[in-house]
Amino acid sequence: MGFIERILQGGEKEILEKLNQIVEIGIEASTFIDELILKGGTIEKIKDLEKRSDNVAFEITNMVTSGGIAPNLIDNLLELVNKEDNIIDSMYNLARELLRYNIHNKELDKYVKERLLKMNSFAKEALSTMKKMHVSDRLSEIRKFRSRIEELEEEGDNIKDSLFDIAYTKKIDYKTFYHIMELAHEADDVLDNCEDSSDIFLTVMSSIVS
Amino acid sequence: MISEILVLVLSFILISLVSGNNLPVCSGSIIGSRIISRRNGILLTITGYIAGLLLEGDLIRRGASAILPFVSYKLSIIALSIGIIVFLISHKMRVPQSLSVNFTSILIGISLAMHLEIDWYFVILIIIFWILAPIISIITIKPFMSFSYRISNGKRIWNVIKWVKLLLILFSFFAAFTLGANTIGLLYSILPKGYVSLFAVSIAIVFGSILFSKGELRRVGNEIISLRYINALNSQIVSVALVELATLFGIPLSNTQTFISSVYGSGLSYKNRFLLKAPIKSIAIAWVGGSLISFVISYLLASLLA
Repeated sequence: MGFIERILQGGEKEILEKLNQIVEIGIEASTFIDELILKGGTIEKIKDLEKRSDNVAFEITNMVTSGGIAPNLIDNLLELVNKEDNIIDSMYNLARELLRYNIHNKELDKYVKERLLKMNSFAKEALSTMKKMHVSDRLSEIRKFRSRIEELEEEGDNIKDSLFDIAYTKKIDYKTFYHIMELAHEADDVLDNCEDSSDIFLTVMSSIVS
Repeated sequence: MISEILVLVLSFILISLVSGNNLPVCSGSIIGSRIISRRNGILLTITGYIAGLLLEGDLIRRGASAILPFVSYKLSIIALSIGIIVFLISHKMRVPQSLSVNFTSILIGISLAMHLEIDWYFVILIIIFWILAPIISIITIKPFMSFSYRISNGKRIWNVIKWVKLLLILFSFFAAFTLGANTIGLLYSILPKGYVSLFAVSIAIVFGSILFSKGELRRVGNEIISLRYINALNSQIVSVALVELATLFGIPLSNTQTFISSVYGSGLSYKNRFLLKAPIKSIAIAWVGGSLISFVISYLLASLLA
């Protein structure tokens, strides 16, 4: 790649587009979580995805710190990479918690799984939106994507609250109670990290151009 | 012969210091934003310095002869020696210094001590320019910022950035060009005109730009304001325009002052801002203090030798 091409393309664009590798891993992981909720399985696949995400995050961190990026963007970009990697970490934690314990009450188990599938579908939509956001180069469009992710996070919060409500109102043993709470927290963390990432992404893009 | 060699050696040292000291003002924004590497930034600046000196360097001779109508080797040695001392102190303190201001003060001090006939109208014009230039920089940057915001608003981000980066490189070159014409041209004006002087000045530019730019690059690039691409570009455009205008009138003007004032002005144009005032204060004190000290020392030394 020539000198002028390198300048025209810019280090920021390359890095922001590379973030989509983490998002794609996230979409793959959310499909796996769907399977895990419906059919069960082992942790190996998601463990592998989490490792891949760590490696991509490490590569991007190296790109950010080794040049081509304006100093005023470095901190925000590092935080963005960290937040996006945290999405996969939260998915891994959710998968671990899913496999850790089975809810014996069939009715309650069905209710919790339905809610988790819903939250996971929000996460998948948020990740797909993030993918579009990363390749968008219009601030107005990026703001719209960010708002949609925020809406999804709020809907996810409502489902989390409904899981808390059921955990407190049902007569269940402590392990089941704790399991539901953990599942709700982890599934919510996925959406929280998606929202945080979209916020930081908007900040980065605004500070590049403004 | 010895005096001639001494003048060349002293001017070599001073031009080296000035080239390094002023490098961040020209390419600090493109090196700091990592648009180009430090090495390429220095190369671009050196090319700009030399091109400016060759093409417009003689324009500033008019201004220099209005302040110091008669140049002898002895006077050149005094002027250059004081210039070096002031610059070494500022380099040690890592404060960007204005050679245009200091050296003009030195020349005025020497002229007064030697009872030479100074063109006071021209001196007043120079001082007015020195006072107005930073103020104009601060004031004009705001419309520039609004204009660039209007142009870039709603446009494709990477397209905007592509053009801003290219313009930044171009204006960094122009900044070096005007500095070569104005500040280095001022130093060249007290040397004998000819190829030997031009060659010595060019070598000094290369030497100083490579060796003496590191500390200043850090300060201008990071300590005053974390420059965004558009801020850096607007600051550079305003600064280049003012120094080029001064050069055309034969007035020595400091790039450092105009650029730092524009950077400060661009910071002020934001609704929410966090600007460090301490480095600005220390730089302003160093500018005024540097010129007064230069004037007093040159006057005393020249009076003593006279």
